[in-house]
This record gives sequence, structure tokens and C-alpha cells, in this order.
Amino acid sequence: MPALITFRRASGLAAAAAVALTLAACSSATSSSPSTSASSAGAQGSAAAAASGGTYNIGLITPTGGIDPLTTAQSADQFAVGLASAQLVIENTSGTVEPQLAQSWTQSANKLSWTFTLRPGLKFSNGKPLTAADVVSTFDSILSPTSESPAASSFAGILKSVTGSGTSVVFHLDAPYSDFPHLLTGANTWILPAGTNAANWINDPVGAGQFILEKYTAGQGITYKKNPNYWDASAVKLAGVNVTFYSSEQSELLAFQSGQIDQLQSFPAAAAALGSSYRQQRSGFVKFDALTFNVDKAPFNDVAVRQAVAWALNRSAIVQTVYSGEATTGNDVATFPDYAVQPKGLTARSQNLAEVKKLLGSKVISFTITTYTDEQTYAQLIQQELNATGNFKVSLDVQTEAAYYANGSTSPWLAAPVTLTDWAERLPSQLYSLIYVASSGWSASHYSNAKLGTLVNEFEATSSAAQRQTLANQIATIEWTDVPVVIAAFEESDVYLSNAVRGSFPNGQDFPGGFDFRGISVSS
Amino acid sequence: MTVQPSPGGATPRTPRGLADGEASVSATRPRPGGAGAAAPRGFGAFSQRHSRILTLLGRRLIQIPFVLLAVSILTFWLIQLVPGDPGRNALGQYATASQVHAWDVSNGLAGSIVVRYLHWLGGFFAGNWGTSFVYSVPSRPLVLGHLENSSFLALYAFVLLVPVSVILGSIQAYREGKRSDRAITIVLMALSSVPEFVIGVLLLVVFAVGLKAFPVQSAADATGDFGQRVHAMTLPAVVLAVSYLAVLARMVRTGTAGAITAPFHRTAVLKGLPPGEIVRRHVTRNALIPTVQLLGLYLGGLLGGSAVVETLFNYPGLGALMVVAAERKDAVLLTDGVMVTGVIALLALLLTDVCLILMDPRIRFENKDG
Repeated sequence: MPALITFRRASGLAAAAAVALTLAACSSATSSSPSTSASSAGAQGSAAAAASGGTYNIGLITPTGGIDPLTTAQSADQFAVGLASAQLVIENTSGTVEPQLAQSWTQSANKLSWTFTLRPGLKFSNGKPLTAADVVSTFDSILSPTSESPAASSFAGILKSVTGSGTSVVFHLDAPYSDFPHLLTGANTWILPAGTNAANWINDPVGAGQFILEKYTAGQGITYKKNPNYWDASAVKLAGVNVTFYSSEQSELLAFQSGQIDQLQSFPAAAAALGSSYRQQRSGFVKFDALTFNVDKAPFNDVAVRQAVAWALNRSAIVQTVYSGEATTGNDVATFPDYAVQPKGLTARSQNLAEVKKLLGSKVISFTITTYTDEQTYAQLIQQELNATGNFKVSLDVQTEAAYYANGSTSPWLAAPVTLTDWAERLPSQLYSLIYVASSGWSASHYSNAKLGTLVNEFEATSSAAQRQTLANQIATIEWTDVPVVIAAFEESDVYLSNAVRGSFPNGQDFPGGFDFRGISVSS
Repeated sequence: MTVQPSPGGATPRTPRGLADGEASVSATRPRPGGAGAAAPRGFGAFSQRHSRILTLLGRRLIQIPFVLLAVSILTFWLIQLVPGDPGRNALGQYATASQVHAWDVSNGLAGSIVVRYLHWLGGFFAGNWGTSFVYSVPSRPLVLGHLENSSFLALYAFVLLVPVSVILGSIQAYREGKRSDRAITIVLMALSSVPEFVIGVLLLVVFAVGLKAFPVQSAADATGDFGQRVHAMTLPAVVLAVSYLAVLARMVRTGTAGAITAPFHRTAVLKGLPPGEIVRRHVTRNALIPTVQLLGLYLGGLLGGSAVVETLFNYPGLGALMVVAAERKDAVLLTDGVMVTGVIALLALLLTDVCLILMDPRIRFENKDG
């Protein structure tokens, strides 16, 4: 049929065009894949990479909280700021404070002030000198009554004011605080030039970090180059860092497997997918997930019920199932395992169903655990373990993160009878003031204990190691016995590194660790 | 007047988007040449057609602003119903309630929704589309940049989709009832029943992770040179094209089958017209009218961005942008994006109707006044 023949010819041409376009795309893929996997660094980045330790490619979840050094609270936002910024001190994976912009520090004889001495000749990324005035200005911004910085809560009731001149900065405290240098490793304590409009930082990103933020493409990524003015620039081998934003951890996992990014922050699915085929680096503890009881409400106003829950949990199973083994079992005491003073003398809780029966008898306790989607796996495991005892009938209320952390005093994470909430690493005394003080504004347990408060204050006031150990034991005993919060595990931060990465990260890739890339390079 | 039943019963005869009472179509049995019985010819037909287009354009230009206004009000209001507080999200759980409130005030999120909406509306028409608090950048370049990316992706998908669907649909029509027709139908139906994200993940695993021929995420290369952009867009474009392929090919099949079995086609063959002219003037023109309607709708939707595909491939398009804006309650960014996609969808609809008037001489407008 003539029409069909014509049609076939037309079809053939159209098909050929479609195939040609697809092949062109593939050929483009082939020709451009080296620069893509080196990734998208662009000509400038590639040239720099060839001349030094290469360009490091990182994937981050798309920042959605605004990239403002004084207010960032999401880990991706903090990473984005931290690469271009520096703090006075950082904390290594052993929990020890190390010098960064400050080279030394001393506590006054009356223990009411700490003096930090800056390194000589410090400069910001724009070449201007970094002085005590910049440090004072930064902390004034954090402590200001109009401050929007979450860091303000870390210093509330502790830090009164900051003064300084030249290279000397003095922190004046409300009361003695032995762990004060640790507080300076917290989020939002990056030193900014005096007069910086932090809310506009992304458009004028001046800092004293290892890299200079060159280009921010909203929702897509950030390009950094090495900061020649960094105080330890010779130790930074990388020519730059390319950050690509991903919408989910799964996308990051695929990008890592395809070689587009050089590292992957571990998460349970990643551990299962990657196995041991990549280099894994542990970089310290990051958080714990707290099963918190409102001790004002029945049945959790009965300490026996709280203890029974604590004894009913199989903590080893939680570590393996929820954290893929990348965690250490907890003992219901809010002291991270890498903190310098570890409590002693407590029985390590593990599943003990006889103890549960002894505490509850034949009673069946019904309650609902309220949490949000990130904690769903953990909540389901708790539900299964408790229901299996026969003494509990547990249901779950899993909400979105936004709904769970809604603003106001009736917010589910603060008002629900039983909640499951994650807490980032903090000092024991900070965690005490957040979790174990009913008036703190963050206490879902509504628990208070005057004696505990006294012990914590004494703990922070003394610098005697022996006395601190004794006080830590007493504090832990109260937290363990009253158990307003069950802390079954402390999660570790693991990073998977591609085979192209050379060197080991000196500290954790988080704000206490200072996002430290010294000594790292990537092979081409 | 005899109504020509649609072969397969799937052929819409009324241009989508024409409001009831505004216009209607009488689909008469087409005669050879495709002209209706009373169709004026020559200059009369030309001027009549153009006056109708101008009338349609005039009406739409009046309607569109009101539609957009209503859409913007609804969007601005509905986003408030999403749980969560942007200030709490930005500052985290350690911020105090007063700090959260202060942050909301700083970012223009406090106060009456009416005042905030009017402030946004005034700014929008003045060219100041506000600032996205999620991305810390002005909204206008953000939305327009992502629109450009979505447009490129949509066009690429169309370049893949249209020829393939026309070819497959036509092959099926010419081989109606034969094994090849059934085989293609089964394959297309199977593809259409698989969700976009499943196809996308499979393509990612095979072509990005396994073969490393394409990037896992398209963001890095999406703003590069043309070759890089085509490269980055290929997997998402294929997924988009596949998702529309089955329906479009089916539409072409139905239209073509109807056209080649119609009396005018037989007459055209018998009177000895060249095959190319028969296909061009009679088969294609009649067969593709419903397809063009569908393409117009698809194009409008695609230009506005495909949230699923863009999110899956991390492609910086408008759909993915609006998903983030909705999740994070960024009312300014979301409403700006919705306005832009609204304009595109409405214009695509208008363009489709104009194309139909130009293509289909059977379309007759009924004058409401008489």
C-alpha cells in the first residue's frame, strides 16, 4: 500500500532522529563523564585539582532552614557554613577540646572567667585580620536579647558577657563551669567579622574556615575553594570541595555508588547496601534517641513502671536493628560514651523479663509512643519488645517532623505522655538542663530533682578530677534510678569513603569537629 | 446531522478548556478534504477563523487574571494548613519560642495572613516576588531559573515522546488487530501501569549506578553547556516520555484507525491522490486533532515541572522546587511558583484551542447571542 510505504519512510526517519538524539546524549555522557565524576568541578576546579590534593565531592541533604551561621540548626546547613568558617576550639573524637583559632585558654582563679588567646596573624577569607573584636562581636550577637540563635540556650545561665582586645578574649561566667571550653565547640559559634549581617551571609560568605565559599546555587549545590588565609592552610591539601544537594539519603547512596561523591554519611540502609566494600571511618558519637515519660501523668508517675520499660528493652537488638551496629548501648544516663568523666558503679541494664515481672506483676500497662517519621523504626522495635513481655500494650503515633516539633507548649514532642526524640551530643550538664529540668522548656518528662540539680552545679564548679568522678557517679545513679528517660543506645557517626580518598579525617564531620579536612586528598 | 462515533470511544471532540456556553464543537461526519458541509471557503473562511481566534483570545485574557488571583489566594491560604512552623524548622528544637517568633517576624511570616497576602500581591505585580526563606535567595530568579530547567526537560521529553508515540500509534492503526498491534498494546499498557518512580529507580540503578552512563542526580550538569544539559536530562526525560507514551500512542492509534477507515480516505485513494498527500492532508490532519489536544495539556503540565521525576533525579525544576516550598511552608516561593505554572497551563490551554481552530475546520462556534 503506497500510503503505508510513505508512512514507513516517515516512521523510519523519525525513529532515526530519536535514536540519534539518544545516542548523542549517551555520547555526551561518555565524553563528559570524567569531568562529571570528578564531578562538575568545572574547568577551574579541575585545574586546581590537578595541581594539588584534588577536589572533594560531598553530597548533602538540601538545606532548607536558611544558611545563616548564627541560626543554622540542620546538619546540612551547618556543614555548608562550617566548611567556610572556624571556631575558637574544636572537639576531637575522644571528646577532648583542641585549639583552632584560639591557641590556648586558662580559667581564672575564682573560676568565673575563661581567657582565650587567639593565634597571631589570623585572617578572614577576605584577607582582613581576625581579632578579639570579631570574637566579641560574634558572641554579643549570640547573647543579644534579640538573638535568634539557638546557641543562646547553650550559654543561658552560664555566660554573662565577653570582652577582649588584641588577641585576648575573656568570657565572663555567671557561675563556675569547668566544661566551658566544650561549649565553644557548639553550633553557631563560628567567628564572623564584626558587623556581619549573618542573615545575608550566603551572599557575602566571609569566614576563617579551611575553604572559601565561591558559588551557592539554591537547591543545587555549593562550590568551595581552598582558603589561603586559613591559619593552618599548609595542612589543607584539597584544592576545593564541591557540595551537591540531594533530596534524600537514598539519592546520596546511589550517587556514592556511582562514584559521583567521595563520601557518604552512614545511615542504616547505606550500611546494608554498601557492606564492607568501602572504607569506613568512625567519627564519634552524634546523638541518642530518648524514650521520655511524662512523670506527672499516670501510669508513668510510678517509677516502677518506668523502670519496667527500661528492663524490658533488648538494647543489643536495638543497636543492631535500629543503628545497624553503629552505636553503643546506653544505660539510661545522659552521658555520652566519649565524655571525659564516665559514671561508674551502675549495673548495665539489659533485657531482664524477671525484673519486669517483679516490678509489674500481672499488670498490663497501655500507652502510646508519640514520635516522628525518623524514629519510626526504633518506635516499632520498642513496641514489639514491650508487647512481647505481656505487661505492656503499646501503640504508636508517628507524625511528620513538622507536626511533631510544632511550636507552642502543646507541641507533641513536649506534651505527649510518652515521646521518642533524638538529642544531639551535648555535655552531661547541658543535657541535664534540657531534659531533667521541668522548667527548661524542652523537658518532655516534666521531671525535676533538686538534689540532681545541686550535684550538676557542683560537678561543673569543681575542677578536681576525683571530685568530678564522684559527682558523676551520684548524678548517674539518680538518672538511672528515676529513669524519666530511657537511653538505650548512643549513635555513632560513620562516614563511608570512596577508594579515591586519601588520608583520615582528624575529627568528626560535625560542628564540634569543625568540619576538618586537613590531611585529606583525593586521587584523580 | 450524524455524529461520527469515535473509534475506540476515546476520542474527545471538544477542545478542552472551552467553557460551557463559550463555544462548542459539532463533529459532523467529515467529508473528503475534511471540510464541513457549510464551511465557507477562501477569504471568508480565513477571516471567520481569525475573528473567532481573536474573540477567544479576548475572553481568555480577561479570564486569566481572575483565575490566577483565585489560585494565589487559595495557595496562600492553604499553605497555612500544613503542619509545622517555619521558624521552628529553621532554628531547631533548641530555640526558644520567643526566638522562633522573632525569626518568623524577621522573615515576614508573622501577622495577619490577609496583610501578608496583600503585601505579596503588591510586590508580585511590582516585580518584587519576595525572598524564599528556605533558600535564602530572592524568589523571582529562583522560580524563573527552575522554570527554564523544567522547560528544557519538558521539551526534551516531548522530542522523545511525540515521534515515538506517533510511530507506535500509527503502526498499530495500520496493523489493527494483528499480533504486532497487540504486542505493542501489551507493552505500552505494562509501561503505563508502572509508576514513574519505579521506572526512574530502575533506570538509575542500571544506567547511572551500573553502567555509569548518566549521572544519578541531574542538578550538577543541569546548568552546564548544551551537551551536559542533554546528558543530565536524558534519564528524567525518558521517564517522563514513558509515562505519557501509552496514552498518547493509544490516542494516535485511535485517530489514525478512524481516519484510514473513513470514506474520505477511500475516496482520496480512489481518485488517485499521491500517498504522501493523502497522509499529510487527510490522515494526519484528522487523526492527530485529539492527540494535539492531549499534547497541549501534557505540555502545560510538563512545563510546570514534574514533581516526582524532578525529585527522584534531583533535577532543579519547578515541580521539585514547589514540593520543597510546600513542605517547608514557604508561602512566598510556593505562590510565586504556582502563579508561574498557572500562567503556563492557561496559556498552553489557549494555544491548544487556537491550534485546534486552525487545524480542524469542523469546529464551529455557536454564538451565544444567537
